[in-house]
This record gives sequence, C-alpha cells and structure tokens, in this order.
Amino acid sequence: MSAPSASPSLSPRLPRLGITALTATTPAGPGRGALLAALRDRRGALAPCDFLDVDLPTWIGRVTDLESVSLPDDLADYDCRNNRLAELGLQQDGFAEAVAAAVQRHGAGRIAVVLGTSTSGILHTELAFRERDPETGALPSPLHYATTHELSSAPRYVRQRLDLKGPVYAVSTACSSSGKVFASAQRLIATGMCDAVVVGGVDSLCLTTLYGFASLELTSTGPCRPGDAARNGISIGEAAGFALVEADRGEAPLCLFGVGESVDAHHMSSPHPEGRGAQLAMRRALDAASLAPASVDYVNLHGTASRVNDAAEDRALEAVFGRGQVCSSTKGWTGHTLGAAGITGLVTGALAIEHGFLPGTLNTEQVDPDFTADYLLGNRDRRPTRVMTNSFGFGGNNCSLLFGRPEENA
Amino acid sequence: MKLSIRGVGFVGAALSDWREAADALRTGREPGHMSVAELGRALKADRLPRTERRRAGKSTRLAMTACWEAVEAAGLDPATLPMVFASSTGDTEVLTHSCASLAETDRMISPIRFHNSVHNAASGYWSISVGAQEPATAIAAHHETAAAGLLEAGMQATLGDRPVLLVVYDLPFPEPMHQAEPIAEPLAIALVIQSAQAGDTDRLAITLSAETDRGDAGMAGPAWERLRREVPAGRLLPLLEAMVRREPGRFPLALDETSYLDLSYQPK
Repeated sequence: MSAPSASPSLSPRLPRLGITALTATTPAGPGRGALLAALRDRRGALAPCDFLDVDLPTWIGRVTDLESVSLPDDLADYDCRNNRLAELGLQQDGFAEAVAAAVQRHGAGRIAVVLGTSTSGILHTELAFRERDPETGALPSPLHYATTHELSSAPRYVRQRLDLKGPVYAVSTACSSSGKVFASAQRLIATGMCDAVVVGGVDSLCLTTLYGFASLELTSTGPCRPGDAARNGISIGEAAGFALVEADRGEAPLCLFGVGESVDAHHMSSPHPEGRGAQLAMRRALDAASLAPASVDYVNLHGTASRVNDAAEDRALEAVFGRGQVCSSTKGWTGHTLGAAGITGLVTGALAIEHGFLPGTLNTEQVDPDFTADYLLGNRDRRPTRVMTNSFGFGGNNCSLLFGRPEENA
Repeated sequence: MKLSIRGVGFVGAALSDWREAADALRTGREPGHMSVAELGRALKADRLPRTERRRAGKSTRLAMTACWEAVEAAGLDPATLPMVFASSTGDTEVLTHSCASLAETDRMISPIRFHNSVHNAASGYWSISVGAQEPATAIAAHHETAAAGLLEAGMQATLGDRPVLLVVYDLPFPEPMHQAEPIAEPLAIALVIQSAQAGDTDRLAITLSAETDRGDAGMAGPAWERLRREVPAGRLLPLLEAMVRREPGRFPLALDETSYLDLSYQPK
C-alpha cells in the first residue's frame, strides 16, 4: 500500500454561506424548540428499543408518531418512514415558508436540494421482503423503489414539496453525509449554478443499521455514554434536519465559515487510531475559514460513544487544538442519527450560539482518563461565537463544519 | 464550467477496457452484453491490498477497476485526487442479500456485509488502496446519477483548480429486486477531469439549463443506445462517443424532469 501524501493540500477557500433558515426534528421532538428544551432540561430522548419487532438489547432514539404522519396525495408513492420523517421535519420552524420567500427572491430554478442519508427508505424494502410470494419469491407490487428506498428519494420529495426546480441529489457517505452536503452547497453557489440550496439530512430507523451495528458489536445495551471511561457503544437515533443556505449578504443570523472534508485511508469501519483523517477535516475547515484553532469556542463532537471512535476523536482534537479544547457529545440526547448526524450537530451548535449555553454530555459520569479535551458533562452558561461540529463515518469519511455569528468573523 | 478530460476508464459491455471501448465507439461497432457472472474476469482485484481484496464487493471492484485505468491514463498519483463516486444504488447485491437476511427469523447481517452496504464503500476501499486522504464523496440521483456526479466533480475541479477523479458505476440487482429496479448490466465509467487549460486541450463546457423540452442525447447504434438507456452510468456514452470521434457536440443530460446539464464538447 502506498503511503498517504505527506502534506495533503487544504480546501479551496470558498465564500462563506449565510444560513437563512434552520430546523431539526429529532427524538427530542419536532423542531428546534423541542431539542432546545431537552438540552436545557437535561432530558434525554433515548429509550429501550421498541422499534417494530426488533429483538436487540439496545436503546434507540425514535421520533414519535411518525406512523401518523401522512404525505400529500399527489406524493403518495413516496410514502415510507424516511419521507414521513422528512415531511414532519419540513413542517417545523417556518422552514417551508422561508424557502417560499427564497423562491420569491431567486426563482425556483435557482434553488437546489442536496440531502444526506445513509439508508434512505430501505426499511420499505426490508418490510417488503417479509411479504415475498412463497412460491415465486417475488416482492409485493408495486415496491416504488425509486421514491422510497433509492438514496435520492428524500431530496426529490423535499424538492417537490417545496416546489423547487434546481439540481437535486443525495450525498451518502454514511455518518458524514449531512455535513458534506454543506460543501456541495458551497460549490453550487460559488460556481454560480444556484443562488440558494436546501441542505440537510434525513435518516430513519431500519433493520439494516440496528442489526448491522449490533453485528459489529457497536450498539450499547443501555443509553449511550459518549466519552465515558465505561462507554460501551452507540445508541442509534433518527432525525430530519434542514438548512437553507445562500451567499452571505451580511443579513443571516448564522454563517457557515468553512467546511473540511477528508478520508482516513485506513479501515472501512474503524477510524485511524490517531484520528488522522479527523485531524485533516478539522484543519481543512479552519483553513477554509481562515481561522486559527484558538478561535473555536466549542466543538460538538462526533462522539458516538464507541470505544475506538471517541478515543480517536480525542487524539485528533488534541493534535489540532492542543489539550483542553471545550467540547461535548450530544448523542446521549438524540442517539447517533447517522446520515442526519451532521445537520443535528449543526442545529445543536446553532442553539448553543443563540441561547448562550454549551450542552454537556448526557449519561456520561466519568470522562475517560486518557482524554485531554475539556469534555463537558454538565451544561455550561457561556455563549460560543464560533462552533465546529464533526461527523465521521464508515469508509473513514470525515466532515467538519465551522460556523457562527457573522459579526464575530467579519 | 470549462473542463477537460485527462483520462478515461471503462468496464462493461463485453469490452476489455477503454481502449477497446473507444475503438468500438469510433468505428460504430456495437458492444456486447456483459452479465454479472462474466464480470469477475474483467475486474482487476489483484491490485487491492490483501485484506481489502477478501472483503470488497463486486460494485467496489467494478468502480475501482475503471478508476485505475483512468488515473493511469491521466498519469497522476491517485493519492492526490479528490474523489466523486456516483452510483444509482451502489452494491445492489449486498443490499438485496441484507434485506433478504433481515426478513429471516434469525436476522443475521455480517459485519463485512454491513460495512459494504454503505454507499461510500467503493470510495472507502479506493482511498485505502491508493492512500488518498483527499475529500471523497458518494452521491446518488437515480437515473440522473451520472449528471449529478459530473456536476459535483466539475465543480470540485473548477473551484479547487485541480484534477478530480469521477466514477459512475452501476451493478444490476439480483432477483427479486431486479423486477422492482431493472438495471440491465454492470457498467463503470471513470473520468479524470480538470479545469480546461488555456488553449491546448479539448473543452467540455457545462452549464445548467432549465429547458424542459429537450430529451437526453441518444446513441445511433441500438446496442449502445440500449446501454445508455438501461444503465444509469450509460448516460455518459454520447460524450465518450464525441470524444473518441473528435466531433464537436452538445448533449443535454437530465438532472431531473425540469433541469439539465448542457454539455458542449469541443475537440482541440
């Protein structure tokens, strides 16, 4: 195997983006308010797994009442758990109205939709396999593969629901997916292909991820405990989050300063032990934003509560920021929302900036003594101005987003 | 965006490599069919590290074989290239087998099958094999995946002012999924693209168009046309044909029903 290049080049410096609308629907409930209340009240949304007939001894973060969400009649072919989650998410925080206003400003053809997901509506196919014809093995008909299971199903659904006509595609790089969509949006705007982009991610509970992570012995038997000395695995969650991003005109309350993307080039399902790719993603985000490490007030960690992942992230944090970087993982509130983890982290950071507090790490009692970061356990009253959020996924795929209040980085 | 193409890789259609595919496109010879069963012989798995060779799925080897050819033709170190891996579904075999297993009573899914099920499995194996730490993305847009991949790779090449590796690849589903989502046969097309350099190269200009009344460009030969229509990666064939024939041409490439990439190819 050839060695990785010694001095990989950093990201191109692209104009920063204004984030003009933002929402997340997580296991804490629909919309930003529900997540804020959970974070403030230190009320987790994880519970013993009661999803379908899953028989795994693990805890999950589930969005309640998705079963009762209905899609518009003309989009009935899109009906599946993932698109119900997308629909519920779109209804929150005035997001659809903000996009409608952007259509007035820019025109529907100038707004793209790029969403991240790891498994899209695969549950729809998983359940269809239970209904196979015992004689022929055929699936029940019609399966509506393209509008349910296929990876761009949610972005197409969102595009039609919002009456947009710009480019549409899905980014599916496992758990970094909904971080990386911000890089695509930056490129679509910087090249003049679009004036605005609806980005985010939708990922819902399914058998593939629950049984798959269990087979890797990565699922916790209780609620996940990120960074804890006795952490023993992840809690899988589901979420839908959306952001409307445009070229920054100095009006948006929140700006994306820089995105860093990298790969580990190490292993398909384990991070490099020193967080080699994670370091590079964080450095590239800082470089793209022309910011020094010391200017980052808080890092919302990927922090899944997997033993090796959390250790590698702490090593990477030390390499980039030095010891004592203020950080926490919020997976104890929502679970690991996989392809929606990047947008969930960004919304969490936005709430911290808006409401002047740093969320601690729920369920964690004693931080791993080997860690060198300032790993917050309780909430801290302090208003961050610049936040980084990390998302790292299978295939060694990493993404860091650096964002904050525009006046602090004029 | 004004781009040029530095290298091409091709796997599929019973053609041994891009050289043979280019020759067929140039002379108007029709391609054959390549079944999944015959795919193994066309794939160069021996260049994977041993551990990865044992684990990588067919779609990964399909994509990587095309990538190796394109990168070698471009004469570039693959570790230096950002990567855009575009596939309408990725590893159709792994996904089908997983869904089938999860419908059984014991619901087993092996760790390797699970990590191979992620859409970025191919880019993960590739980056490990060549030691690349540049950004790697995996995208999907159903039948419009090739257009979305070209858009994303073109933007990265333009903004970064550096060569980018794009591969568009599709593997057919086994039954019973094939009935629900028919992809005719395996096909992978890899391109190393970069910003057009002043004056001395072929040009591929890409603009976004809102026209709704233009269908995608087609192929004159019926077997080529079938490949273009029945495999999402095949949407790039009209561009490849113009390149090898050195004919200027314009090709609309649908991003969906209301927007197109307008490709304009101008040979040197």
